[in-house]
Amino acid sequence: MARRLKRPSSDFLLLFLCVFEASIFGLLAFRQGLSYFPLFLAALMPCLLVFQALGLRRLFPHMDMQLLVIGNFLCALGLALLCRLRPDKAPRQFLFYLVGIAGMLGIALFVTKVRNKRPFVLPVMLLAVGSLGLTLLIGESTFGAKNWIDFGLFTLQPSEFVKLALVFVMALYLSERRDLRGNLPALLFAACCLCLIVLERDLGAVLICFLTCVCLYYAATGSLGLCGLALCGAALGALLMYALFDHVQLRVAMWRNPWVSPTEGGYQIIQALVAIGSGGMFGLGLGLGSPTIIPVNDTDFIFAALCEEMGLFCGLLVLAVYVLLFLRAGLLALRSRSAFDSLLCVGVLSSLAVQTFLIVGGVIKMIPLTGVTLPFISYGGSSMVSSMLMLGVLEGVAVNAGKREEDAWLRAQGGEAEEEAE
Amino acid sequence: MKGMKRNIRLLLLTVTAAFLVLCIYFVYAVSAYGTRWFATPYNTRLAQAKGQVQAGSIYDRNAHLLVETDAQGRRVYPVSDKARAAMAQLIGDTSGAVPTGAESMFASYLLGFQSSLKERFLQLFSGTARKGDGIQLTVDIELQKYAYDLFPDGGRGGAVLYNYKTGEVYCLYSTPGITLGEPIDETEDGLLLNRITQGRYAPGSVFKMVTLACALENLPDVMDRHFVCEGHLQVTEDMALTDTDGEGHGELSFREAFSKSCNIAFGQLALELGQERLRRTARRMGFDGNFLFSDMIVYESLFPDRIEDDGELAWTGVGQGRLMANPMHMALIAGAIANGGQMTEPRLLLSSVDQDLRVTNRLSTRVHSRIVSASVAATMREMMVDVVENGTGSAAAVEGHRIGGKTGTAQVNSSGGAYEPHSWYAGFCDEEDAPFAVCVLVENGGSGGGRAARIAGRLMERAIERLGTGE
Repeated sequence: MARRLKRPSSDFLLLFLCVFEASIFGLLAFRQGLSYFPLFLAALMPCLLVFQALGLRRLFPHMDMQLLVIGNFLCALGLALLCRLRPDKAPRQFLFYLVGIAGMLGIALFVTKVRNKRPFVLPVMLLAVGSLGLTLLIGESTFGAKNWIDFGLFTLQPSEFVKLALVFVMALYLSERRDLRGNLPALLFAACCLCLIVLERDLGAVLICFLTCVCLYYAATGSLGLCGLALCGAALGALLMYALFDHVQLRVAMWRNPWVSPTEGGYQIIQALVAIGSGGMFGLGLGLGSPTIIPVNDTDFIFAALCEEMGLFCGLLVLAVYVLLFLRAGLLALRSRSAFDSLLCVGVLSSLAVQTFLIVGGVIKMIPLTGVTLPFISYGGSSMVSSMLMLGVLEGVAVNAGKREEDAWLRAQGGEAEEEAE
Repeated sequence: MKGMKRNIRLLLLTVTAAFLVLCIYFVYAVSAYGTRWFATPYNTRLAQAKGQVQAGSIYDRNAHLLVETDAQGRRVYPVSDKARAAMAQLIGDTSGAVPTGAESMFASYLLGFQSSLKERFLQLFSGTARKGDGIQLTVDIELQKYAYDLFPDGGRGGAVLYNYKTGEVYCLYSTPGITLGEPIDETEDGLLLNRITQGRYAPGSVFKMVTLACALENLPDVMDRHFVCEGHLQVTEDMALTDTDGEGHGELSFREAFSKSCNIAFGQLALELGQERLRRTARRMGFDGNFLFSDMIVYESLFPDRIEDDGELAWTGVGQGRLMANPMHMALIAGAIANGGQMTEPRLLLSSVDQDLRVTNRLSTRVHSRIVSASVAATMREMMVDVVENGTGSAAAVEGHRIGGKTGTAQVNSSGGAYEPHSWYAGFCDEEDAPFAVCVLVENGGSGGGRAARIAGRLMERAIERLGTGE
């Protein structure tokens, strides 16, 4: 009988997250009178988590429970903050979370069950370029970037999904050939996407996509020279953009000293800093601060809102959770035997890491602010779904790696058994 | 495949390192700037909290009540009119127009943002109106009133006196200022400024403390030197260094050059030292530095980034040129010299207290940095005592006490024509029982040995009487 490989039990983690979800939403439900939606979440979120865990474990015996717990923790934290900050938007975000779970399942199935992914490359490329082009034509703009399409029922931000498309295409090409010429189609595709996003003036997304490509290329080829060249080119490009775009100059000026225009250009960043300063070490307490003062507190500045009510301490803990996610994804990349799977992990990991770094660094005024979302936590359907899809990719890779290890182990067992029989 | 693993490991390391840097910066930024961010006038939480929280009271170091909140939630000042005027810039308004005032700086205490989570929850559930913590300042209101008397009406300037061993500021007076409890008169200029902590002025000869330190550090034979002063020194073709009175001091020893504040001698020293060495010493003594004191906002003094020519260098050595000095900083330098070269962090907050004046949080003394070595500090101390005993600072003397200091007469060139120079004095009392340092600035007050030194001397005398621990 085939025994499974022993893995460290994650039941405690799961239980802990259930308690966290029930208590944080319970607390929010009774904050001012009784609000039903958080109460509903307090009951439903733990069930949903257990359902995911059990269902996925049945479907994929080798899934990585830690990754699932981390992703769900961040989503739950984001939902809780949203219930606190913008109760009107919370139900919508919950729906996106559900869609995200379905997407995660779908993409995990795709990664594990579809053996030959080659035929998907061309459609993915066309879809990515097409959607970006469409955005340019009929898109709407917020904060100087023209990056989303209004479909009436919901809005879509194609650049969020293009990241994933880039990771997929680059990983596929790079896993087959390491030379520059062999990868030319993938690089051309990346360049095309980058140009379109630059035209959309969505500079945060440009940075994320570009750095993800560089990380992928470096991981596959180890060519420091080419990557360095690309980085130098990007630095030149950044200077050019600084010279060309007014809003880039404003962002940099407001990073260097926001206090020169505290009610206009520097308003957002100053309000974020003031909120963080008000929170102090342990925060004002969930529901006891006034994070609603912070502009765009549900997307770009949600980290400042978190720090105000939960303090520097929790801010650091959340960053630590992100680092755990990245390390876990990195370990998966090292464990995986297939180059394609490894590169998928690297791509997802670098895209998430760059995005988190950009927005958290921007909010605490370490680097100039680029308006990107905080993965899993920020409000936004595209962001939430694409984050969950990335989690799905990681789960798929974990399942593949686990299955391979089990096969190898079984073969070794089988060999021994035969030896014994002889 | 193997190479790829190495690359992935390196990538992981980079990502982890980047996030580590992010976290370290985050902790540093919040601990260094957190209270400043919080206390800005742009923090609408403060205005909101004022509606919900009864702001705490402010006491002086002897527990005299200075400010409290009445039943209607207004801030009232149960002190005499004189005391109210004397502490105007120190306390500041409640809306943050005077950002360095105690009401703004310590709003997190006064509005209860510093009280523990447990207390906040208890107050939330007990339904009582929330009360902020009281604070006890390090200032002595009597000394503050005395400083007010020393400045004639219509004068502009200020005085600070602090303990260079503990950092406690006993007196921080700046005039003109707002009137507490009344709307701010927007039409008048410079009312919102605390001239001591936020002001920047040409330092004049007070800066010779820095040139002196630099000379003692870099020129081993300087104590034995002699200078000949004819009141005039042609540095470059179109730039000459002059002395204030223009008469010339004749032949002087190094000691005499300092006590008589000879520009010619110190200009020559500056030329010999060069701008690099002078800048290095000035920076170590706090110029261009960002003072991040936890309980006090002090603006930094500025040393020019590049000195154009020898003419400017000579003038910089005697405290003119493009130098800008903050009066509190000059007091800190004088105090550090008396304290063996160690600069103590100044502070205005003695402790936070509850309703019954029980101390809930006592704040401790912190050392900021060493600005000169102990031996250089000892020599400088002697020479500064010489200034008061035999030189330009004689008006600052206090009978029966060992007082040292440096005067400054800072020329101001303004487009409006000739102005009286700013009158400066920075000094200390070199005694175990009265470790006090002082700085006085009178805008357009004439020579430093006159107005500023006189005010400083009388303030010091009063401080030793009231706060000295000796017999």
